[in-house]
Formats: sequence, C-alpha cells, structure tokens
Amino acid sequence: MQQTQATCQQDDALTLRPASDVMRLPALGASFAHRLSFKRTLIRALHSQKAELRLHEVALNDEGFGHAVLVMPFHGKEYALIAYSRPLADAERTDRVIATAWDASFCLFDGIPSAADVAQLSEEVTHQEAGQYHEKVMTLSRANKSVRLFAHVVDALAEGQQPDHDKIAAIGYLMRTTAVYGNGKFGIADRDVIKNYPGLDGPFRAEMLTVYLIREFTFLLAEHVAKARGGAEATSLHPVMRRNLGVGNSTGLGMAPFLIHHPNLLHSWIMVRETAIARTRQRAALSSDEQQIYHKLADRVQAHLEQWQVDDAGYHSIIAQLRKEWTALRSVLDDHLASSYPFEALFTYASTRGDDFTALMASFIMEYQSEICDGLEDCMTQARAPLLEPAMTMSQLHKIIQQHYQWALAIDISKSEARQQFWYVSEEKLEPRLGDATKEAGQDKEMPFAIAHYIADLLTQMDSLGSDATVAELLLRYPQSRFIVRRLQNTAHFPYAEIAGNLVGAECRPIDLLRCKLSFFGASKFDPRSDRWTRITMFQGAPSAAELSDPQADDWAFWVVAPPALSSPSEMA
Amino acid sequence: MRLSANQLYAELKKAFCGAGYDFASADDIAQAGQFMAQLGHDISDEVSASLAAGYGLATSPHKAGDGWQLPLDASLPDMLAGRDFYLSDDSLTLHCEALNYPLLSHGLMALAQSPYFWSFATADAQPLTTICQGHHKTIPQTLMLRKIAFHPGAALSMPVRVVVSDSCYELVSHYAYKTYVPSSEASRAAGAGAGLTDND
Repeated sequence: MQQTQATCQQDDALTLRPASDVMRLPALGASFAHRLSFKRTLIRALHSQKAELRLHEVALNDEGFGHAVLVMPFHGKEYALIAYSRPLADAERTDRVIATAWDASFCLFDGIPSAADVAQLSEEVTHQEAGQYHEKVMTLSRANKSVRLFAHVVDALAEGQQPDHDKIAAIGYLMRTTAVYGNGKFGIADRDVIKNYPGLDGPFRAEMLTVYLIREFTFLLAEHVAKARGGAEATSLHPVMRRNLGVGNSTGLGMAPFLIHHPNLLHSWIMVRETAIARTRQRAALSSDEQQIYHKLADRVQAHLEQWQVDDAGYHSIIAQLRKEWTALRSVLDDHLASSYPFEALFTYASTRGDDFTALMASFIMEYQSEICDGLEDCMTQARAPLLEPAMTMSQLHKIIQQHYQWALAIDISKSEARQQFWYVSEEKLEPRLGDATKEAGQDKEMPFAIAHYIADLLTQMDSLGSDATVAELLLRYPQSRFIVRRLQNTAHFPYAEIAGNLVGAECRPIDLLRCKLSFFGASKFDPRSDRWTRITMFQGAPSAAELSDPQADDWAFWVVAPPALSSPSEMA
Repeated sequence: MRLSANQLYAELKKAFCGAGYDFASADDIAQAGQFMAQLGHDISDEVSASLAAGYGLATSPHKAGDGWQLPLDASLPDMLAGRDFYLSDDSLTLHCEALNYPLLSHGLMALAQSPYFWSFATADAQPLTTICQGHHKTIPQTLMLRKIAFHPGAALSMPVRVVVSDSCYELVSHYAYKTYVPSSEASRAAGAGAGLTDND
C-alpha cells in the first residue's frame, strides 16, 4: 500500500494510542524493531530491485589490512563502500567517540571511486572526524572487531570448519560500528542531496545501506584472512552462518539528542508505527494459513528471547519476565488467533502486562501484515520544521499546555533532583555527555532539554500578560522563551513530537531514548553496558547480498541463530 | 571555505548560541544564514559582525502608522521581534530602515513566511513578495536590497555546497566552541562507555 504525502495525515477512522501513553520514557525504552524498521525496509527495497553486490576491488594483505571496494547498484545508480582495514593495538581499541583509531573505517561513495579517490580518501576516512570531505562521500563510519569472535571465525574457516553457532549466538557479529555519520557532517553530502536519490529517500536509508555493506565486508575480511592462513583447506562461511552474523553497534549518548532536536521526525516515526499497530488491530479474522504462520512466529519469538543474553541485571530481569509471559501466552495464543479480531484480542492481552510485553506484541502482530502496513514508511520523513505562530494568544497557549503537557505539570520542579542531570557536548572530540549538576560544572552550557522547567517559567511569564496578549508580545518581553513556545505550538500539531518525561531529572535513563531510536533502525539484542551505553546487533538474520533475490528475503524477524543444518526461518524454532 | 549546507547551518546554530543568543533565535538565524548562502550570497561579513555584536535587543519594535517600526540599525533580535509582530497581524506592515544585517534579515523574513516551500516573486526595483499557502505579504522596499531570482511556485533545487570566508568560519568555530564544556578526568570517566573493555 504505497503512501503519498497527502495520505500521511492521521486516519480519523483509526484510534491511535495517545501520546501521553506512547511517549512515556519507559514505553519508549521498551521498543522493539518491527517490519517498518529501516533495516527491514532497506532489505525489501534491495530485494525488489534485484540488487546484486559486486566486489570492485580487494586489496588486502594476508593479515587483512588494506582496502576493498564493494559496489551495490540500486535504483539505477551505483554506490560503493570503500573499506579501509588497519592494524590496531588493543590499547587503542575503544568504542567511544573519543577514539582516534579503529580496526576499519568506511565511507559510502556516490558512484564508482577511481583509484585516486580511494587513495585520497584513505588519509581522511581513517581519521574520520578529523577529515573534511566532499559531496561524493555520502556517509562516514568506523568499526572495531569483536576480537574473540573474529579470531574464532577465522580459525574455524582456515581449518575448513564452520564456526561454533553457540559462539555466534553469544556475540552475533564480527565487527561493531561505533558511529555512522551522515547529513553533511564534516562536509559529506547533505541529506537534501541524498533524499532525491531513488530508494535513498527514506530516513537513514544511506546509513542503513552503509551498515549492510559493512556486514558484507566483515564476511569478506574473515574469509580473506582464513584463506591466506589455511590455503586450500580453508572454507567460506555457510549461507546460514552469514545470516547468523549481523553487524554490532556501540551506542552512547550521542543518539539521544537527535530525538529532541528533530521532534517532527520523531512524530512521523511514531505516528507510522502507531498507525500500523492500529490497522493491524482492526483485522477482523485470520485464515487458518495465517494462524499457522503466526503460530510459527510465536515459536521463533520464544527461541529468540532465549538467545537474548545480557549481563545487565535490570535487562536480565526484563528478558526473564518476557520469556515467562510469552510462555504463558502460548496457552491462549491459538484461541486468540482463531477468534474474531484476533490482533485486538492479543494486543489487549499484552497491554495489561506492561510496556515490554506490549511493545513485543506490537512487533509480533504487525509482522506479516504487509498488505496494510507496507508503504507507511513513505510517511516517515519530516513533514516540516517547527514553526513559531506569533499571533497565538496566551489563552490558546494555555490550552496547549493543559492538553499536551500534563506530564510536565506533574513534575515538582522545586526539587533539586528534578534538574540533577544536564546534557552537554564535551570539548573533548565533541563527545556528548550527561553531567550531574551536583558534582560537575557546565550546566550553563547544557542542551535545551529541561522542558518541564521551561514550561514552569513560561507560565509565570504568561501570568504577567493578559489572556488576549499574543506570542509576539510575550516574546518581546521574554525572548528567551522562543524555544519553548515554538515547541509547545509544534506539539499541538504533532503530538508524538515530544517525549513525555523529564530528561534532566535524576531518574532519567538515557538507555530508554537510545532504544527508542535504535528500534526504528531495526536493532535487536539490546545489550546495555550501563544506563547510557548499549551494544546492539543490526541485520542479524538478514539475507546476505548473495541471497537478496530469495523469495523469503523478508522473513527474518526475531531471528534465531542456528547451525547450517536448519536452513530456513520456519525450521529454526 | 567550501562546506556542506548542513554543516554551515549546524555550526552557525552553535556559534550564535555561543554568542549569547537563545536556542531558537540561534536556530532561526542559522537557517537564514544557510538559506542565503545557498542562494549564492556571501554572508561572511554579516555573520562575523553579528556574532561580534552579541545578543542585544536595542529598541523594541513600536507601532507606527499602519504597522510596526523597527529601530534604526536593528539588531538580529530586533528583526526577530519585528518579524513576530509582522506575522501576528495580517493587517500590519513592517517598516525598517538602515538594516545592519540585510542578508540575514532577508533570510529570516523569507523563511518565517514560507516554511513549506520557498517561493519568491522578484524583479528589479520591485518589492520582494513572499507567498505562503496563497497568502501574500509585501516586505517594504527598504528590505529589497538584493535580488533573489526565483519564480513563484517553482520547485527549488538549492545548492548543497556553500562558501564562506576562512576568517568567517574561523570566527564561527570560535563561537561554537563556547558551547562545549571543558573536559576533565571526572567528566571523561563519567562519559558513556567509560571503563568498559572493548577488546572482547
């Protein structure tokens, strides 16, 4: 169902969950990837285009150091991943922004790079943020090896064996990216350019393509080193093993501010997801074949949850509870699937069992609803930037606050813990950080995330004016409130644009914001290392480039790592 | 210096924040600067001068005849305030003379009125008219300091690379730097990912 901008308005016939529920931090922090996540839509697009990857150049030595160029044709254009692989001492291997060297560095190039391009970009790309780039460079990224798994896979392949699938299940990737830059950063191509390229118009589409090609490079690199070591005895990764391997990612605080700085993009993403959920809940009945498909998917979810292993105690408890609840669901699942309005019944069942189970159920029920969900991704771009409405009166502004910001009014801002944290950019390689106002200096340079506090100040300012006074009059007297007024007015049009939680309160957990955004990317196996840092896996289960034409290329949600003997998703439960 | 348009916008926003502007004003001015640079104007001198001048609301816009009068040598905050009044009442016009920052002011006016698509009807010696969703407003002649060659309703294909002088970008970076918090061992140790082993 292709959407157009004209059909991206909310469908009045659908009842969407209210922002006051959906935009709570715990709800955002429970999000799961779903069929409209960016990795899924990219794979469907590559599949529909019958895209065929080709190795343009491989110039790696026996240890895997050098460069390679992978070319992916897509919608009539060609895009090249230029990958530079370099030796890296263990002492230098850090996933933080402040790193200055990596195992591998990448850029996505618009077209086929010449030898001179590859040579010229070598110095720049391997130094990432220190470089200044031209518009042929579309994205910039870097990655570090999972040292243990990379070594294991190379050892196994060199000896003609497939790697141990249990070890793959425990880690899930050969490399993890630590940043993927786009949209004009350091002089690379602006999104305004890329969005006009067919197939790359969706949000983060170029970045997703980059990560997918990095995954292909990791296969190439491991097999290349194994071949150099094992010679004729060496083997390649089995297609199922390729599927079992995704790309890791380490994500810190840098991802969170994006959601606050791009409120209308956030609204679009959430609106699309909620529309897909609402449409799915309206399905009146399922055929017996459909019931059977969902029954098998439920098996997969169960196995996927079993393979989701983390060290973090809080997440460990959440996952344990999910496993327990999913097991309990199985006793009523078939009855619900056979009932009228089966997805409504299932979603209602889940909604009484907390945010995590509800989010999992949302992804589950929409998984095979391509007819009513696909195409909604066309509405996931930003409709417009927030806009000040100077003619609005104080009484109208009051109404917006009352209607959309009850969560903010409920916060007791007189308590010091209500503003204990502050978000800032460190001068050290511009690393985004979160400070404790009771211990650290720098709050005067914080990013503008104290929404509830700004509203409290605004209300005091509004009291000094008459109810018919306009925003223009208010801002002449209190120009510092331009930001919050514009934000409030914007939320009246785009209710999912605002996160309903105190981002500077002592209780704020940045991991909730990270997970929300990463779920739209399509991340799985969230593995928090603290409340402000997580590892994830991308594209685990996705068809490799050699399998993109597979008719079942889209069937990889809730992937379960299994040995090659079990070769299709339906057999893996 | 040649930059991506978005890189210029991002740096300008930080720079104006660093110069003391509130976040939304800095954002508006950065958008205006990016826009005018994309139109091929050299905004270097205006950006440098306005950053050096810092934030300042010189004199409030005041009622004058059929509209609002901006003070002489209006600052960018004055221009923003004037823009607010101008847009708050369809029956009013905005009078301004001797603008200190004509390019940035022009960009501020154009973007405020035309958020969905930028459409300009221009001709030499004619006042600039911006068109937004069928609503027309005329900016007084005194603002018509540079020609912007677009046709009404035409789809815009904006340049994606912009040029500012090296000295301007140096100043922009200097002010942007003021928004960064000095690092310390404590803040480094409290950063996301600190203390974790990445050799696993």
